[in-house]
Amino acid sequence: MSEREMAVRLAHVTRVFGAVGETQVRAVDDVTLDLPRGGLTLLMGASGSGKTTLLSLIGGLIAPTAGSVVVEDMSLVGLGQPALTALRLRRIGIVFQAFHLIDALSVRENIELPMNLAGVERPESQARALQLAERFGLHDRLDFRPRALSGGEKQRVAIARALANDPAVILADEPTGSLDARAGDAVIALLHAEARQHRRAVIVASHDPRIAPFADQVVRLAFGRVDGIEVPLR
Amino acid sequence: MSAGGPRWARRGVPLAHRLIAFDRMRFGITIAGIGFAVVLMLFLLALYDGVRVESNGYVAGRPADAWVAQDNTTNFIKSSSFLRAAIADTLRTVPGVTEVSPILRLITTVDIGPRRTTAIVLGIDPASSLARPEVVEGTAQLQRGEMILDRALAQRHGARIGDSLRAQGHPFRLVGLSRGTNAVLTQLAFIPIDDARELLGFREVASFLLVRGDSGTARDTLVRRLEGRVAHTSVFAQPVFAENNMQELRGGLLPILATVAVLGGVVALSVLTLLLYGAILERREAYALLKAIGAADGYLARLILAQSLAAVAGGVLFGVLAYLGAAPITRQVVPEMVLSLSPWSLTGVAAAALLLGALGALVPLLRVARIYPAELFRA
Repeated sequence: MSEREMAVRLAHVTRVFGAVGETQVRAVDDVTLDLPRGGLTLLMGASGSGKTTLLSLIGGLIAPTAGSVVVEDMSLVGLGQPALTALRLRRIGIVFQAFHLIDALSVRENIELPMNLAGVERPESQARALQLAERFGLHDRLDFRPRALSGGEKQRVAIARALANDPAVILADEPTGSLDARAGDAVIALLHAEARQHRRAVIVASHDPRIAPFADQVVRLAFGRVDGIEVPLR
Repeated sequence: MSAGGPRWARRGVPLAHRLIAFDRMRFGITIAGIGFAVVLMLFLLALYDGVRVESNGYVAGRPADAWVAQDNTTNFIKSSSFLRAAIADTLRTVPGVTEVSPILRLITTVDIGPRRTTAIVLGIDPASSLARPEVVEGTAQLQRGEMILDRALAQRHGARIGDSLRAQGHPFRLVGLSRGTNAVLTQLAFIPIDDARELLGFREVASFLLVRGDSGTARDTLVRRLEGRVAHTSVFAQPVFAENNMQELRGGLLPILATVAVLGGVVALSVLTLLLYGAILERREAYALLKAIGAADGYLARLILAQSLAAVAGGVLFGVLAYLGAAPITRQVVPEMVLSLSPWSLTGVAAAALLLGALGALVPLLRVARIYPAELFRA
């Protein structure tokens, strides 16, 4: 893969939590990775292997203790919170295991919210929300509140919200963790299609082996380190 | 306005409104909490204004140019002043003086039916308009054995025109009800000065002398001419004496009312902060999410401020409506309670409430600043 196709580049990234001594934890330890556009990267590993910490580092939600994180040619090291917030708003979409939809808002409003935060005014954000809802089979749920949706529908809303500002990078933390097998497969298929059709870098952290067949590369993590990188056969 | 509608409608999802509307019970409790604190503040300010205007109403409303009192007496409310009645004759000889009217002040018991109360009874010259109170019912023309009573005191004790009363054991007939004569802690009653002297047991005495000058004599000139004319007296221009009275009020009851009004504001602030803080803790995930998806600090600040100000606006509306509903009832139940809410006080409460809204958002804002979006990955 050429350098220009890389959406995320991690070089010798380390993240340490806690004070020096027995309580100190190296959640991510000297990780170097290139994550391409147009592909789905699966970060696999047991609980505590560093998957979620790696997602947080790429999303600029926490800062590395050492090393560099570059997203879309922008180094996150040394960036202030306003710049990191702006980067997340425009270039990174995040999907959570627990969906984290705002229950006071309708499906349409949940999808619109990131666009409004980015300055897109309402008629335009409503139209784009409708497009995304149609793409994910939610057009008849636009005025529903999240509590009225099934788990699979909630996760599709969360993905639509993550795509609202057309980000280059999608971070998904255990996106199938709260779903049954069928809904989980559908969600992963959607994320894979987004990677391929819209040339996004989709990075999924999960311990669910059913996702591996959809991945373009599988990064195995253990004790905060890269334990191997595989390209699944199709 | 563009084809897309008004700008406020195009800005985006009305998140603050949605968050407020989603938990109506909490919002209702917040509004009620702030509203009752606003009612408390409005009542205290209305009482403050009422005391300020009503308690000083009689002194401030005299159509006189000057007050003459015993030396070192500075005000009407908190003083004892005794003058020889003959001083009035001396003052009438001063150039420019057209009228001198004595007031004899007693603090004594008034029996209204079976009930006894204490009032400031003023003996006035029935022939002079200088000391005569503003009468709202009955007559202002007193004859011997007649009394004018403050209307709040009359209402409190069910006294009506024509009723027989007793002052210091002597019989009087109620002929008029006055206003501007309610000093809150006590009320004024008026009888002819000769009756007052009989009650006191001294014939040739007065407490104050009201002096009116002719139209060609400036008030300050008149005061200068009166000063020093009689030994052991003090002379005040009417506005100065009224202001002295107000100073006494400010130094007595009014600071207490102001203090309690401020405490009402503190209660409102505490209620607002506590309920907003609780709402934010309950919605911790939503705020973490907003941070994760790229909401700037300014947006979050505006979001919390908007909720705070909406709660305050609701609370002020609730408070004003509750005050408007409760004030007439209060006046019926406690006639002596003078409530007079000025537009300035109302504006002041609204402005203070907005300030409270901004202050009340501060602690919740600090709490939001300590929410880390990465915690969403754990949930």
